[in-house]
Amino acid sequence: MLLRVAWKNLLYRRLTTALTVVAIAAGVALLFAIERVRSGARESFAATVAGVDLIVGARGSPINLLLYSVFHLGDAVNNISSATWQELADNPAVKVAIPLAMGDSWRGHRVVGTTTDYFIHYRYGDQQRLVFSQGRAFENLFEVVVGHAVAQRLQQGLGERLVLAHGVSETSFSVSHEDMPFKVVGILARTHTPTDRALFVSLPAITALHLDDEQKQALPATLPPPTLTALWLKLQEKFAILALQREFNTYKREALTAIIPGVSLHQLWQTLGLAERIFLLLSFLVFGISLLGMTVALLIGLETRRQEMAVLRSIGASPRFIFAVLIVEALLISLAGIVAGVALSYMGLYACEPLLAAKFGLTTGLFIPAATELWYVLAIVGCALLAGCVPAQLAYRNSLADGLTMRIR
Amino acid sequence: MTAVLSLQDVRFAWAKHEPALLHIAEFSVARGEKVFLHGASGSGKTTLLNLCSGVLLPQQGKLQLLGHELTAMSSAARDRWRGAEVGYIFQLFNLLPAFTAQENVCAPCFFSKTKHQRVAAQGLSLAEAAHQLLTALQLDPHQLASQPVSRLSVGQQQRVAAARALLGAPPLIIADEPTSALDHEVREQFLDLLFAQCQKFNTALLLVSHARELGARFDRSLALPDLNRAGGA
Repeated sequence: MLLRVAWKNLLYRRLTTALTVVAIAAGVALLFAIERVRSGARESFAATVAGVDLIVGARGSPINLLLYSVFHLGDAVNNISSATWQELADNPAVKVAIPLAMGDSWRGHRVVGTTTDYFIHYRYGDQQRLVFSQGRAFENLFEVVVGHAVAQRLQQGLGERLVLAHGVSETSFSVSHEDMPFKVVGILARTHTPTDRALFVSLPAITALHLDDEQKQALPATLPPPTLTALWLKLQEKFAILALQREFNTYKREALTAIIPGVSLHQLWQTLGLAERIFLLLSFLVFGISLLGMTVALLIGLETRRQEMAVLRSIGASPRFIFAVLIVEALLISLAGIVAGVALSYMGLYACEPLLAAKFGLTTGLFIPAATELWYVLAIVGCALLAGCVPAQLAYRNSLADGLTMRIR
Repeated sequence: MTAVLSLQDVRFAWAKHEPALLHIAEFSVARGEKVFLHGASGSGKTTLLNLCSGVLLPQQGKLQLLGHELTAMSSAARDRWRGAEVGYIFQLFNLLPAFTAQENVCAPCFFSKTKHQRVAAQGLSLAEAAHQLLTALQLDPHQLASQPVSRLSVGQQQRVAAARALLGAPPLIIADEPTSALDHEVREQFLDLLFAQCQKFNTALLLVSHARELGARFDRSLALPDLNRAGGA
């Protein structure tokens, strides 16, 4: 009876009910979408680099080293010599050393000079390997492998010739290496990491790009490796990480910084956490306002419903029943709002997923409700109940005061 | 058990130290009796009705509904007792707008087991009883079913309200200005039908109105100012 009365009342007041549900749905959708993007960002952030035990670069800030070597953001202040690379690679504790030489670009995408070890040993996410969706790794000097997002911008795909530019802006003002086009020989499958947005060439290719014109006329058979931006190290034994980190941080021949990616990622995330929390706060505010909207809608309805309450009383309903009707109405409205809001946020994320993935390398893990989200739902229902208590309490008081003979004035 | 409703030496004031608004030495309604109570607007009619149904409690005096002392009951018990023993008709807007006429008529039986049992004792289902009452009040239940109650004419709405008050055969029906929104002819017809049904169930009727001319048709006609001993009210 209680449910039926509440349900019928809501249906009778369709417009108000629908508007209130929409307001709550909007708040919930925003809250959930932000939470999704937030946790998606955190996850894909942490999943960016998985197979690397240490990252070594020239002496500088650890966060900066992480940003430019993993996220391709910013530039290295200094480089490390190829001699150091050799020495570190020969260290018995080091299993694989992946060299990275950056500084060039193609239409704003980073060009990374590396070895084929990158394709073999790089891991992302849950220890996933890089996979070629088309073609193969580079073998010759003027061959390039492109990430998934870069491949989207190619006109022909495999076999296309690209002119790389010095520097990293979208339209490079500086020198473009027009005389040395690179042939696309491989396209990597999507990883949702910065690898998607990068191009890969061999180390000698980087050296070749920076030869002067005269030298370019007569390319020697073998080119020396360029100076490196960073080294990714994979160790034989994990327990050696800390000892090696200390060793490299106090390296004699060159000033180096060695970081443990997981630790630095965590530090970086902490720094970004403020923005994250502000977003969350904003979405809570939006949700709070939509709850306020519901309370106001119920309160406004109340005045016109006093007669109805008196009628309910006259046919034997107790003031408590009237209180309960109002609470159930609030509950139904908020449940409908939550369901609609969650559906809306999923649809929105589903629609935006390709964009988020392409632009930001974000995966949002669709359709798997996280435990925190269930808590959110509970909290929202709790808030809605509290908000519903205000009009319900008023209705209770009114119905006691009006008794059975509330008159239309 | 001849008196359905009985008030003795009842005094009521809105606040403790205010002078009494109502002071009624003796007032009772017998079983099956039709009582008309006349009073101008603001004379305390509504307050008296709220007292009779135990929504308001007097500061002093005895107030009995079917032999039960209302002042001695908890508010929840009073709600139940009232729900079982009294039917109500208001001046206007009697019906729950979200529900059909049939549902409106049956609603009191959802709140009161006693009323429900009385219907069952007649060997009728709720729907059948509602159907009979609506037909007896010259309404077409089939036609009513198809439209929202807010679409009914005021006369029809009042008859639906009467059917609701009558369902479950409560010993007392309290009607607060039930005819003042009706024009003359509809009013006479409404009272005819209401009286006939009260007769049938031996239901007492306490009808309050400012329209003195209605009184002639009742067993007893009283004026509230004569009944009320509180000065100036």
